[in-house]
Amino acid sequence: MTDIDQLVARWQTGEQAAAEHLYNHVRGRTFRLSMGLLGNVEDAEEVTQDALTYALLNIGRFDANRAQFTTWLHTITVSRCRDKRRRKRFLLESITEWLQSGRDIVDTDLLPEQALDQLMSQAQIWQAVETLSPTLREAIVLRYWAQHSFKEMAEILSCPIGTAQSRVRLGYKKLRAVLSETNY
Amino acid sequence: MEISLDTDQIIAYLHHTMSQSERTAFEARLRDDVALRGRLSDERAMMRKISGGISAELRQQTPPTQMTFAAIAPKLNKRRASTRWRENFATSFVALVALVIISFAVFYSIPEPDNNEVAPAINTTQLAPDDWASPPSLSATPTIQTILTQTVTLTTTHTAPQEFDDLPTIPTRVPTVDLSDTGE
Repeated sequence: MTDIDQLVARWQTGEQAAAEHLYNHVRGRTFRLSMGLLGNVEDAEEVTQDALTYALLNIGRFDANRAQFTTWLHTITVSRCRDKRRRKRFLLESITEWLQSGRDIVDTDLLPEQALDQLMSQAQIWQAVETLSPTLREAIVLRYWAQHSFKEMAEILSCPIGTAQSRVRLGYKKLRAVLSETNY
Repeated sequence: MEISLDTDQIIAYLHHTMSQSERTAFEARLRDDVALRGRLSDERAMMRKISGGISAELRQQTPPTQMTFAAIAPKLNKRRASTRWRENFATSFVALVALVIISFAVFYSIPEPDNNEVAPAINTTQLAPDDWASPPSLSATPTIQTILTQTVTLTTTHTAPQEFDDLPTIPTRVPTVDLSDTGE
């Protein structure tokens, strides 16, 4: 039994302190997943808090025999991110936000050449990720960053395993194509 | 960007999305094809770079300082209290329904006295006035209910004839005295 499993079990029995420990345990990872899917700190924060509140309140619905807690939590997070994206589609983005959407340029003079290369390539990769459709982005982030199995991905994305596999392959091909165009 | 059949296969191989038979066939090809091995190696490096770039980017993301458990705790307590109230209400309601059902079951399981019960056979032939001194025996019906029923039956079936004129003439027995024996 992992730490998370123990905390979940304690919280399911109503131990208040376990909720806070559990929150602190998964907070960073959930935030990073939201960031990976939304690419915006404010949205990621809102979605993370919402997803964690929901998960903690509905802990009674979580069945440890059916899935891991992180898989269940990521399912909630992905769902909340989709809702957020849907809502945002109807809102006009401010010009300021649009202007700030480009990445900040790092002060290159202060960094060693190797680190700079790494940072630049990382930035290029992330820019390529941001060109993906939401569906492919979900698949790539869940596979490459969260390292979920295709079975878990199918659960999280509510799709067949074959679909999850093809989304990852398509996402990878798209990233590869974008990076090739930028002479990566 | 055109992707060859081989590249597709390489991507599928690297992402573990091939079937077992496809995988075996592809590995057999790899053993003989040096160029294919080289392409596989390049593709694997690309995949690792992309995967590494995404992970590195998200690792750098730290949750905002205001994103704490304390921020969601009031919501958690409030909604938890309402959930608890709902749970308690649901439990009470179920208990009440169960009580009503049990009460009905107990009430209807008590045997009701049968008013249509057939009274023990009684000789209902018209009794001669001489027999009125010894009415039929009621010893076979010990319960109050049956006794009452029989009483009703008796009062309705064993009434005296309405017309007293029709009564049979009761012979009057006048003792006769033999005066001859007196010697008078």
